[in-house]
Amino acid sequence: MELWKRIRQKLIGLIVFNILLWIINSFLYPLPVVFKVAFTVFTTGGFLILVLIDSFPVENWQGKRIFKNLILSLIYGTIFLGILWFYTSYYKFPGMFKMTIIVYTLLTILFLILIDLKPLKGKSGIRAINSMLFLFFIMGSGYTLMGWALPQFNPAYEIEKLKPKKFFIEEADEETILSVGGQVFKDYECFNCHDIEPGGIPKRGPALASVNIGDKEKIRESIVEPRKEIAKGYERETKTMPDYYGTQIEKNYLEALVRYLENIGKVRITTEKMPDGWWTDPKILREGYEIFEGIKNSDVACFSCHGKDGIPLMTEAANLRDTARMAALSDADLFKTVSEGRPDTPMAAWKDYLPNEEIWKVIAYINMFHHGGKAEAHKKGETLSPVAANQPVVPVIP
Amino acid sequence: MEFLEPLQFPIFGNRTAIWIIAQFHILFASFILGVPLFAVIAEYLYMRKGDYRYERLAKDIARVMAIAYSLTALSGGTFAFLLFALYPDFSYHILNKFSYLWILFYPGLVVVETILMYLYYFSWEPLKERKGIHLSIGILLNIVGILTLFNMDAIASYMNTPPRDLINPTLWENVYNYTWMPLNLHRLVGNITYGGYMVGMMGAFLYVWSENEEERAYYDWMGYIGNTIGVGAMIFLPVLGYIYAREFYRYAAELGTYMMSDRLSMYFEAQAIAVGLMFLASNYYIYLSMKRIEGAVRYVPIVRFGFIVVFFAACIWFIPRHYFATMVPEEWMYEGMTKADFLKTTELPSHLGFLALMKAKNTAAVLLLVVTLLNYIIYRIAVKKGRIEWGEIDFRSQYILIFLGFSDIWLMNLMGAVRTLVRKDYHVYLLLKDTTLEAYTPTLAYASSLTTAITFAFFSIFVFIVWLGLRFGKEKG
Repeated sequence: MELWKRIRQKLIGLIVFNILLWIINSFLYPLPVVFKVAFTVFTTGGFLILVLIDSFPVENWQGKRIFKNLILSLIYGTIFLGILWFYTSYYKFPGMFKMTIIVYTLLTILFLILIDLKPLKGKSGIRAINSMLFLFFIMGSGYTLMGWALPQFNPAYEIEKLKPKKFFIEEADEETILSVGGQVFKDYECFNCHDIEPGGIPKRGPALASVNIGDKEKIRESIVEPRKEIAKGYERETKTMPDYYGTQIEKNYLEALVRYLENIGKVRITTEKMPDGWWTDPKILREGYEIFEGIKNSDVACFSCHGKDGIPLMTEAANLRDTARMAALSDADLFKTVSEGRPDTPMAAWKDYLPNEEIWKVIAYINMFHHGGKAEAHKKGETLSPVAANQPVVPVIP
Repeated sequence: MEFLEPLQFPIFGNRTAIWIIAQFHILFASFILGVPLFAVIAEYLYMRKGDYRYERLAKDIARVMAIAYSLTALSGGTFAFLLFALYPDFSYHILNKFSYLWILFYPGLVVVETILMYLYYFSWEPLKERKGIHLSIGILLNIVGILTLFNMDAIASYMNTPPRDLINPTLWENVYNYTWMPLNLHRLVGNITYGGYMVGMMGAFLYVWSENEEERAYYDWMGYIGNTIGVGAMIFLPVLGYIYAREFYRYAAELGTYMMSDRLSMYFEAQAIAVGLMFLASNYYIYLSMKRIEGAVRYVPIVRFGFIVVFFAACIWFIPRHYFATMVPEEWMYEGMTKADFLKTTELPSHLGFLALMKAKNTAAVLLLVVTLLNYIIYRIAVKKGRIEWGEIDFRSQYILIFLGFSDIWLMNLMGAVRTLVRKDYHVYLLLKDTTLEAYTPTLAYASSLTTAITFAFFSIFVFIVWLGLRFGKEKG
């Protein structure tokens, strides 16, 4: 009867706690139902122990000597470490991860051995100051060492990018000039106001591929003296284009920008359809692979969310092996998804980083994930066999 | 617009100089925003329960807050002056975009806050018979403090996520950007955590300095209250951090990947390890607190099991996707082996990829939360059955409180650096470029060393303030 009384006393607490937990697991830290049930079982077990705990003997809290339970803890610890080693080896944990888990477990065992040491007596005066200084030293050096011990990168790679490059237009070939011009366009964020893609939309300024921007002389004048002639439709714009680019951009770079802009109208890649032959072109697929894997530009590394083998590595990332979902999309849908992103999902608009042709290249590569890793043309509504949820697909570039 | 050439800060360079002063300012500012919340709650509890310890706690906190206030203003002024001298183009940009907010609203709030703060502190005795009015002043002080925080968050969040695809955005559009509200929530709850741990740390210092039983009992209680509030608020920080990070992904996924998978990923690894340690330390403190309760020894087995669960959860919490600090390994990292071999030892294979996903991380977070709450419930049950002997706590617990305060400050500094570094070489992402050669992401080794140095410096000043406010006067008296 006594036990039943104790259960009743704690039952309301258990129910309230679990309702709260269910809410937390649904909204704050969303988890699948199986996990929620597991937590309910876990907390119910905890409460049952709390009910029974009054039957446990009450002793004085004496604290232990450090070596009292050392032998026993070492035996249990060794058995546990053995099981952990077997488990991590069986599931093929990579070396670094295995090592971290083992070191962390060793620290856990050490902590559990040390936890019941005899209470420390209070300190005062110089001894208290010394112990505080020692504590500061341990905390500070511990955190700093952690910062040094974790893997590092070489900042020189980024510093190199920040250094102003020497570039002389007379000595450069056409390809370099256009590439430098494109970079200037990006560096000075001209894209904030001007869309340069075919079919682009006008922003604060005209979409440059959709209007006649004139010859080299005219383009240069529009950059250096933008207020001399205001583009049609922008006469009432209160904040016109800044007039300092003529002095800010070094003349060789300015010339490269002019040449780049002169060429954009000549690009004949649409946003509606994959260029002919690109679905299976090995060169295109190779370049798409380099964009997807972040080799070409580490800011764009599609694999970090979608997975190298198509198994998503991030919550909410699209499963590129989902044949039904992918087959329902047209070329234009695929392009729009990469270019504009998908609202309310982590999929960003990559148009600021990838020109149209690069978007098509990466789509050509992505297409292989739902074609069993093979290079095949995509067609909306095609019939494809489904891929098992945990079956990886590694595209083979022909 | 022509600007004067920026000055060059000697020895440290411009970036590090701004880094140090900004961190100092935010630590003091968070302190004077976090602890008034604490003081008002304590004063309210005194009114309700009549326990004089709450009144004394509120008063003690307010005294320290009054001293810290002038240092906040001093560091804020220095920060602003340095910003104008070292980054004139950026200062002009912000003045231009947030003119009214920066020139009128913010100084206005600071003036009102200052008046209310001193009014709250100096009206304690005159209004001791009219507690309701005094408490209202405290509540008003907190409202103005929160408004000031939201105001500055507008600029901090705008720098990372300015409105895109808007022609000439209005002031409100600049303020209400993607990450403003998530940053507000994250900082607000973060400040409560910080306030709690700071009070816990004050209690610990004063416990060590105590000379009699009565003082030790009071400061033991003070440390306990501080830790309870600190860990109670910290439970919600991971989810608020997650919401904040998710907004980065929604705004521009490249910012999210730069944080979580690229050059800032190991910063998060360090954060995960430190958070795991803090949860463990908080639970250990509850455990040590139980030791001073008669008959509580019977709960030892369940608390020990709880420790194992905390370790297990922390282990899942900090398992990264890969053990290299870039999106794709740099060549020097795998010198002497092939890239494939390097990846085999440093990257989670697909079948274990779930360990790095939110499902696993959420499970770990909930485990940390459940165990901490269960331990606290057990503590309360033990209190009902036995008597607490305040002042008799194991001396180790005071070291734990100081460790928690130190870790909290260290983490605030490191994560503050992440918030700034995430936009790479931009002052305002994709709108205003930082064209200096210092605009690269520093290594974690550098950032952690600087963070430790700043934490030490702040710690020294904080100890001095506590001594000056709560010890020096009494010694003389």
